[in-house]
Amino acid sequence: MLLAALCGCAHVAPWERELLADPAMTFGSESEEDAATGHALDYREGGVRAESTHGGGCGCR
Amino acid sequence: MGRAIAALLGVVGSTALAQDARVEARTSWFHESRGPLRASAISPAVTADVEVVPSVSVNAQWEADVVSAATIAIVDSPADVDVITSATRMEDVRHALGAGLMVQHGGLELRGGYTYGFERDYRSHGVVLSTRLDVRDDTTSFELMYAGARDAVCGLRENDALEPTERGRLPGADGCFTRDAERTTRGVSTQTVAAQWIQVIRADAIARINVSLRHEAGFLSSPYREVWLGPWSAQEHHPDQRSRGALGVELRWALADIRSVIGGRIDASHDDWGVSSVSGEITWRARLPAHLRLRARVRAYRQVSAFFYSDDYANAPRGKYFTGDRELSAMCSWLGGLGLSWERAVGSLDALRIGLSADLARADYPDFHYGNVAVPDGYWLVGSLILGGSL
Repeated sequence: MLLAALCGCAHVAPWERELLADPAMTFGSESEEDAATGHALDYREGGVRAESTHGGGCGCR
Repeated sequence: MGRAIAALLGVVGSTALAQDARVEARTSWFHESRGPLRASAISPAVTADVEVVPSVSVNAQWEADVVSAATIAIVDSPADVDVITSATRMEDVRHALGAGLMVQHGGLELRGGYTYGFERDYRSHGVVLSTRLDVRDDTTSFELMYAGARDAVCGLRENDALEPTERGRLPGADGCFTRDAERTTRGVSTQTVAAQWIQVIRADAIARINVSLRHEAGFLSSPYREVWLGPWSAQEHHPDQRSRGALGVELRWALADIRSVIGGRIDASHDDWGVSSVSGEITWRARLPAHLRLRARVRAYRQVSAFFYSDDYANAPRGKYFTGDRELSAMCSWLGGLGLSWERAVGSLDALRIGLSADLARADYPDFHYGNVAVPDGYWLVGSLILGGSL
């Protein structure tokens, strides 16, 4: 349902993108701020986050 | 020779200064409090990107973790052993060095990178390859990513000839990755493929969907942990394969009237060890006067335990595997954080950026005990200071 909704998105012209140009609307723009907490979550949770590339099994922690 | 090196540095330096360049330094501080089971880490990192020719950039990174932590030698030991006060302290330093290349052409972006990580008891070689395609007038983008790593973990050589229930724990990192006849290494390989779809929904909203699949193979236990099995203890024994899948959905919505962006995301994952997890996060980002930005977030996480997890293998075994890893038990956690950043052009710099952030988390492990002792209240705090500049 979400995929169908996204596929039907209205086209946004370049001159209508002032709000989208805000860095806060860019995914990944806070990667430096998130790095340390993401690193801690990788080691402190048994689940995995979709954007994490951390792997390996050693529990050297 | 010296003049040749100086000339080369001069050429590289003038090239770097003539093109776009970005340098960021970050120092993070982690502290976990569990009564006497404290752990702390300081993690400095430096990242640099330089556009060497139009549409081609190279980057390099270095990061380190200086870790000090208390470790429990035998999880679920008999009641007459005080596991908390008999915990031993471990100190180690991990370094990771990386380099990468990015090429852009039209709406297509290709990235590749390599990272080498090393510490006293662990070595890691990792590669990441990704491609991103922007279409529909840059309102839609797709990204595919592959990450692979081949790691080596230190272990006791004598364990090679023993059954899992007879194997002992590694007492420390001394002798690892040397010619010490009592030490050996065990391999771990990790393969991850991921896909991402980012879609502009309206003039004030954007969404992202992530999917990833990961397969890990090799020695997936901690070499340092032993688990009490009843008559004796043995090094924890996990399956040597693990397949995991994760899905994430994120939405950001700009609120122009209050100069803010509200974001929400939901993540879920499942693996063939039986660990399923779900998390939700809400983030508020605000533009403040004087080039300041504020970010506040809350996150909740919950997972169920691995199928072979038991809090007492002496009386309630779960087949042939046994673990002392609290992150394989059922758990839930809460996280709240604040971040403040300042960015503006200064002198010849296109941007100078200073950021401060802190996240506080609490984790509960209702089914995990150290013998007869419950895990002390678990809080951890991460603080980061970031200084960056762009030319």
